[in-house]
Order: sequence, then structure tokens, then C-alpha cells
Amino acid sequence: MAFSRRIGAHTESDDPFIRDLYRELVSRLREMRDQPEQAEPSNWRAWIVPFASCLVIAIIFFAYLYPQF
Amino acid sequence: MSSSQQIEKEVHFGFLPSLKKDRHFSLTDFILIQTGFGIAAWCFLVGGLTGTMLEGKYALWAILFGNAIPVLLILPMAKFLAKSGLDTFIGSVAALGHRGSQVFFAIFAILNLGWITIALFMLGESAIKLSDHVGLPGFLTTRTSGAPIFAIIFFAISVYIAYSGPIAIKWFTRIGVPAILLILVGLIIVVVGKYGFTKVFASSPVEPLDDFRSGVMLALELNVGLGFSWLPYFGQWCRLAKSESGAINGTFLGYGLLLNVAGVFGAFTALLVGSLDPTDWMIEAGGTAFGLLGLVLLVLANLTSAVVLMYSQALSLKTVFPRASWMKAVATVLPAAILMLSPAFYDAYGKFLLYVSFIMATFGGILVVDYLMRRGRIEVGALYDGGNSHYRYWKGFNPAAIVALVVSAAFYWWTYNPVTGAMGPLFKYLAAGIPSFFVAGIVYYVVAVTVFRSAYERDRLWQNRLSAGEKAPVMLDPGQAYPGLVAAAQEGEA
Repeated sequence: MAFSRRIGAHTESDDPFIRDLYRELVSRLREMRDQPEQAEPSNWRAWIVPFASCLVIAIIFFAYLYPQF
Repeated sequence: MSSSQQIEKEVHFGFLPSLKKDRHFSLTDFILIQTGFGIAAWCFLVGGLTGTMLEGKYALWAILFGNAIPVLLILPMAKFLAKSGLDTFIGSVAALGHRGSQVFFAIFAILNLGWITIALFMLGESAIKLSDHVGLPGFLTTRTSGAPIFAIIFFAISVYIAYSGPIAIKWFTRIGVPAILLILVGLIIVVVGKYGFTKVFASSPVEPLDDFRSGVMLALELNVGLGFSWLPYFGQWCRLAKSESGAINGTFLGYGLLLNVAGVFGAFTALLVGSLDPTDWMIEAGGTAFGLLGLVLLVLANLTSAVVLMYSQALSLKTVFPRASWMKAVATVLPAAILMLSPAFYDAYGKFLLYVSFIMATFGGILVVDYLMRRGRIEVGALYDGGNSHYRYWKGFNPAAIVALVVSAAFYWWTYNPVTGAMGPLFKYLAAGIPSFFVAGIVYYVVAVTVFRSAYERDRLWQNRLSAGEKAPVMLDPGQAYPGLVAAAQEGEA
């Protein structure tokens, strides 16, 4: 089971697939620690389109449809 | 590279957090891929269901609201998965615990069987109509015997293709995605060119509910189910995003907005033709020649959807349980064949969507609030270590998540009972899925910061170290907890 054993034990596994997998994991975790921003970070501007779209849909839904109920 | 090596490579890739060098998806790629894979049988069916209950002007807004708002609510997960480069099930460990995320995966796999059945039974329905046209024996032209036979034959073919691995699938998606897009274009041409919007908006639904308000809310709830259903699929694409902004906007535009084109035109066609089933629309709306072509395209599109769903499920299983053999991973889809033996499950699509709404709204509320509660700071290394980490909680289950799950489930069933169809007093005003999302999130937050505060102690210590300006530690108590990890890290550094 993937999550039931320690990562360290996996890196010394007899199974080459698991050993390679977890050694690669350790290498990647180290890289993520040294360079946390693997994806270009976002700020509030990234949310404008989703929020504005939903706001328009919600306004029409509640202002146009709801009173007709 | 052989097929098994390709699969092994994909498992490696799905299991490991993706790094900058692995990320190739821009905003445009996101929109194209999510629209291409998302538009399928389920969009037309949910649109068709909406169109049989509501007039065109109401159906349009029920579909837009019902899909866009749930996707917006679970959108913080797109940011998290893009930032961390993780698959959804590994990312959900922080909120659910190691074993809890495995339960989440098991629930996803069960629901996935439902989606596979819907795609393949619709294929069976298309095949019996084609069989009828070419004059095959009677038992191959009825939906009680012919549709299950075709569905199961194509199920076996799909399993074989999924088992064959990514190369075969790549070829199939090159046929299936254009096929479904051609069907959509055909529907738009028929609705706009042949009938016109005036006729669409003047058409009456064939199965409206007696109470108009209940009808709108039920149609809304079905769409909410589809909107929330994308949650487990976020990770596979978002982890490949070059930017968090691309993942956020691409996910929203793809799943939240553009997918609705298929739903809306599905609803309009259902209003015009008087049936919710896309296999009924083809000849009725397009005439014999275009109708038969449409049915062939529907067979190809649904076959591709089934193959992609099977492959995704098998790959996700290998991501969660890397030691499982590929054959066993693919074999987890076999129970779907039982659901194809009669039209009962396919006909209960609406009910299935309500279960999806209830389950995914609840998990969505917990996952999103957990992510916000931790201010987006999650220890990626600890997500992979069930032996001794701060996401182990109680024997691998997060008690706060369990309480939230139970309370939110009780709330959903009180608001709307998917088995009996009984509506509670709130359903007519709020529907059930969206408020259940908030109930799950609020309950999770309250119990996490009060009753089960101690379960988060190790995470709080880690968060404090980060706040103090320490470089994000990937190992906790390295000398004791992870001797092998330390050795491997030192080996790498050397």
C-alpha cells in the first residue's frame, strides 16, 4: 500500500520499480524545497474572470428567474 | 518503448509531484483539453434532462448557474494542485488523512463505474438504432436485449484498449474528441438553422414538474451534480499547468463555462424533439442521412469516453497503490458490466447525478476549507508518508473530515432524498448540493479548530516554522522518522 510505509523504507526496497520511484520522489521533494515555485504563482487577478462570470450568471439567475418562481 | 514501459512511465509521472520541467499546459491548452474531454454523453444527457423539465429560457440559466457556481466553489483546489504538482488523491491526503484519501479514491472509482456505464449504454442505444436501420435480427434492435449486448461487447473492446495502454488511447482520442465536437456542431446547426431560437423558446418541456419552483431547483441540482463531479479530475490536468493562473482560468472556462454549450444545446434539442436521449435526437432532428452519421459518431465518441475513463481509473489506482499490477488496476472497471445488463441504471441517470452532487459537494467543501485554513501551505513530503507524518491523524483518517462528511450527508438527505425524491423545506429555495458544500466546509472548520484541535498540532508546528522564515522542511525529525529518506537525500546531494 502506497501510504502505509515510510518513504525511507521504500527508497531501500528490493523492488526496483518502488526503489526508483521513491528515490525520484526524494529528489523531487528536495528540488521543491529549494525552489518552491514550480508553477508561476498567481495573485487576485487570476480570479477576476471566474468571479466576474459567476457574478453575472448569479445576478441574472436571481434577478430574472427567482422573482418568477 | 513497449506498452508496459509506457504505463510504468505514466505511473511514475502520475505519482510524483510534477516539476517546472514537466509542465507544458498554457491557458489555451487547458481550455482545449478540458472541453475536448469534458464534452461527452453526460453533458448532452444532463442538458436533455433539463430540457424535458424546463422551458428554454429557464433551462439556459439553470445549466449555466448549475455548472459554473460549483466549479468556482471548488476552484481553490485547481490552484493548490497546480502549485503542488500533485494528483487529486495525493493532494487530498492533507484534509482526509492517508487512509481517508484512499476511501475518497474508492468512492471516485465506484462513481466512475457509473460514468462508464452511461457512456457505453448510450453507445448500445445508438447501435440498436443503427441495427434497426440495416435490418439486423429483432433482438439486436431492442433496448432491453440489443442495447445491453452492444454495450457489453463494446465494454470488452474498451477494456482491451485501456489495457493496451497510452498509445492505443492516443489514437482513439484523436477519433473520439473530433466525433463529439462534430455532433455538437451538428446540433448547433440544426437548432439554429433548421428550427431557430424563436421555436426553441416557444417549445414546452415534455415532463415538467407540477410545481414550477421545484422543477427549476431539481434541474439546477442535476447540473450542480455535473459541476461538482469534476473535482477528482482536477489534479490530472492542473498539475501540468505552467502557471497557477492558467490552471484557475482554464479549469473554470473549460469545465465551468464552455462545457455548458453542449448542455444548453442538448436542452434545446430535447425541447424541440421531446426526448432527453441524444440517440433519439439524431434521426428526428437531422434526417436519415445525417442522423445515421450522428449515431456512428455517437458510438465512436462514447467508446472513446469509456476508454479514457477506464484508463484514468486504472492509472489513478496505480498512483494510489503503485504495487498493484496493471491487469488488476484495469480489472477494477469490470463491475460496470453488471450495470449494463439492463437499461435501469442508464434510465436513472438523474438519480445518479444527485448522488454525485451529494458526494462531491461534501468532499469539495472539506478539501477547499482545509486548503484555505492552512493558507495554502501543505507539506508535500508528508502527503507521501503514512507511517509518521502530521497528516496521519487517527489511524490514517482525519476525524474532523469524518464529522463534516456525516453532518453534510445528513443535511443533503434532509434537504433532498435522492432515493425517494422527497424534497425538504429548504430545497425549493436553495437546492441541496451547493448548501451541502458550505455545511461540509463550515462543520469541518469548526470541529478542526475546536474538538479536534490536537490532531493538527504537528501541522501547526510546521506552519510556525514556515512563518518564522525557515525554508520549507521536507522532512520531519529526519534522524528518527526517515532514515532511508535521509540516506537517499544525502546520496543525491553528494
